[in-house]
Amino acid sequence: MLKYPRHFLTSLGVAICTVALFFCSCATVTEPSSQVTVQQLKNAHLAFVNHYTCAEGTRSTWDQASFDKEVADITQQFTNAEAAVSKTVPARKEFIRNSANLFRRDAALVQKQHCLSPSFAANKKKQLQQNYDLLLQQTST
Amino acid sequence: MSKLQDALDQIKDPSVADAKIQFAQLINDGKAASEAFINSSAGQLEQWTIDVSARKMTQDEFDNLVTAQTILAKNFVASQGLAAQKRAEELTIKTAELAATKIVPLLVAL
Repeated sequence: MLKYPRHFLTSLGVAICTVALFFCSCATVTEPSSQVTVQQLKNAHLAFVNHYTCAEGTRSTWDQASFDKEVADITQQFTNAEAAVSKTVPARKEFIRNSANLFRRDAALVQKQHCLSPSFAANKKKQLQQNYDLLLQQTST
Repeated sequence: MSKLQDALDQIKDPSVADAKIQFAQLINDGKAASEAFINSSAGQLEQWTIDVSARKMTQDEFDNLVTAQTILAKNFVASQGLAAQKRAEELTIKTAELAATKIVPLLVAL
């Protein structure tokens, strides 16, 4: 028999609460950080589309090195984001991989045309909003 | 008459007459759907087709949007119950394919 059962139970209760609080705090730290990452991907992708939209339909100058660097930087963001997602949430990993695929296709289109029409940009931004908002909803649940 | 119908009416080739009717019907069905994704997909596809016919977008740009939407639609279709998957696929992926293969190439060639 325990000599001080009440003290033992109180200590056990405190320990359980501490562990529970620790896991709760993990959840609240991980989810918002995941949301911030998705938001950053969304902002980077939308900013890329904006950057290469030309009101006149043509671009007077083309800086291949700058374009390559911008694409490499954003691609790295997707790679880091995918690596940061736990294997326990494969759907989220897949979603980020799909979004990276969408970005690669947009980059290829810019490489080909050097310029995106305002109409395409408006439609593309609507499509991307829908895609990333769905991912943001998933990370908040 | 709707802007989509105006765009489709520009295509005079009789070999795609059935495809034009089918496309317009699928867009209408999609816009009437209660699922937000199908509804939005149909609305967007309609707008892209109108923009291509008005020379506001290139065919490469249209194809980029359709390919991206197909990737998103596959996620959506997979998330539906088995019974609803066929209809969801018809109103999103198949409609986009019809536009990309039968309708838009002719609009661009006008």
